Amino acid sequence: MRIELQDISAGLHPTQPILQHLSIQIERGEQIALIGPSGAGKTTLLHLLGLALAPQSGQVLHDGRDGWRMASGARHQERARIMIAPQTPPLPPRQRVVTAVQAGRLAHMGFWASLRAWLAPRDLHEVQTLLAEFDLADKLFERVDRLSGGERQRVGLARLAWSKADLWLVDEPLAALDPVRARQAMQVMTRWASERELTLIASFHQVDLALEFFPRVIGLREGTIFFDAAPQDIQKQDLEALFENEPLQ
Amino acid sequence: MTSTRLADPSPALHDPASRGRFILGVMLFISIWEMGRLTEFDVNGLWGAVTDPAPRAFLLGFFPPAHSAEFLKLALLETWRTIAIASCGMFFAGLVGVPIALVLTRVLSLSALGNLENGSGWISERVRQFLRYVMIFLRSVPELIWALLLVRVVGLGPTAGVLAIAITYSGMLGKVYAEIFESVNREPTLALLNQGASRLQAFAFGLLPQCSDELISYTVYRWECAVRSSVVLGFVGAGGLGQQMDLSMKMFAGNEVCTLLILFVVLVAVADWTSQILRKVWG
Repeated sequence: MRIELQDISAGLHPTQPILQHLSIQIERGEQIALIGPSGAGKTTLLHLLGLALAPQSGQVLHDGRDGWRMASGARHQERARIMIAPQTPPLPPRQRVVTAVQAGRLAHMGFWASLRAWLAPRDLHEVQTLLAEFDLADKLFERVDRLSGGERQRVGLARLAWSKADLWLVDEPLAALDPVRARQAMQVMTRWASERELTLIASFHQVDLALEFFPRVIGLREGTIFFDAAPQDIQKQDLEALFENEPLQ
Repeated sequence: MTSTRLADPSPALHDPASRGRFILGVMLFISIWEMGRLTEFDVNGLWGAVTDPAPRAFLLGFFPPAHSAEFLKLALLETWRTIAIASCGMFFAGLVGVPIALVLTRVLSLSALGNLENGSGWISERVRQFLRYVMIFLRSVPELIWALLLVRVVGLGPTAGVLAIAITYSGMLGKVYAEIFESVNREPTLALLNQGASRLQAFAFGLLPQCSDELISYTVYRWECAVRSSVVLGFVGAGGLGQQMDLSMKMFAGNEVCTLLILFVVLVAVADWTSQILRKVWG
């Protein structure tokens, strides 16, 4: 999916938008890392790209069509092509892993298929194969609230992988993972995105991993684009300036 | 000390909420006192049961409880009928209440998704408001009044009881289910809607797993209330244990009344036990 943001302002507060006059072009199949200090607007930007948040001004174009000028039904159909993975995996605590993963494909399931999956999970073998990529094969029938924070985050990634979306918007997927798991998750995620030729945009606090794995890195600071470049063109002082603290009062 | 940035603590610091809480407390006390006066609550009236001969004879007649095979068989049949009235009433109440609750739940609104400024559309807000009024109407008239009306429409018997419970309880179920749905964490539901799932899918896979426990315990509790209601409804001719109780009372058969009261207690205990088992199975 090709995405274009044109002069976007957006945020939860009407008079103080988090993102200010932001424009980006993203080609189909691109893999982009978002980095920047906390509160820079990374999550807001991901929600905006995924039609989960309407902009206060400006346009969000998906393949040239303005997502917020469509009829509500058409917009909802467009959402079936998008998968947003929030930082805290939004999984109901008492749901089992197999059901939580399968919910990733709901938009592509009819009423009866989803009812059947709700009563008894299907495609058990495929789900387990997928979970095995994250060393979670034995957790297939475990309840989500009995998992550790890191395991839950990997279930969230498995749900992402199970979906049939062609735009992945992933918010800090490594936040709850140790360094080894983080690298593993990073490899799996970027490999899948390449294999399926889908567009991947993910935010990170692990700058070194972001620079290592992504061909395009966007630095976001105070709601505007600080830099948008290939990792080899990003200098050490750029990163220092990006994360520089405001003077304490 | 390190925290030089903190100002000196103010000596006159006090909780800004305490004044409001104190006033609310005083008002609550005064109104309860006034309501007690209005209802002429009088402990002395209870003393008459011990001193006057007629009430005393009735109460002493409670022991031993009636236990002839014939009466027990009759009582059990009526107990079963009471359960049937309550269960059928609950079933129809759910048939009306659950869909209403789903429409009322704002988290499941597609038009509100991502639209912070507009919220839900004008039409869907009006529909919700209308349904809220419908439910107020349904539950504002007590089931006893509905039963009195319905006995005249559909005639004496359990049908009137079933309908009376269905009408009142559909209003209650719709309201409380909607409140339960609104009270859980919104993120799982929103995440599913944001990936293009339908409202019903988002409900089944995102919302329901979070509140199934609460729904079960509230529903079983309501069923227990419906059992008690259907006993009362029997007094106005809507069948079940209440009708039998009415007869026994009119004949001053204290021992029969006692047996029936014991059955009530057993019924409620069974409901409580069912709730616990269901919650354990689901939990």
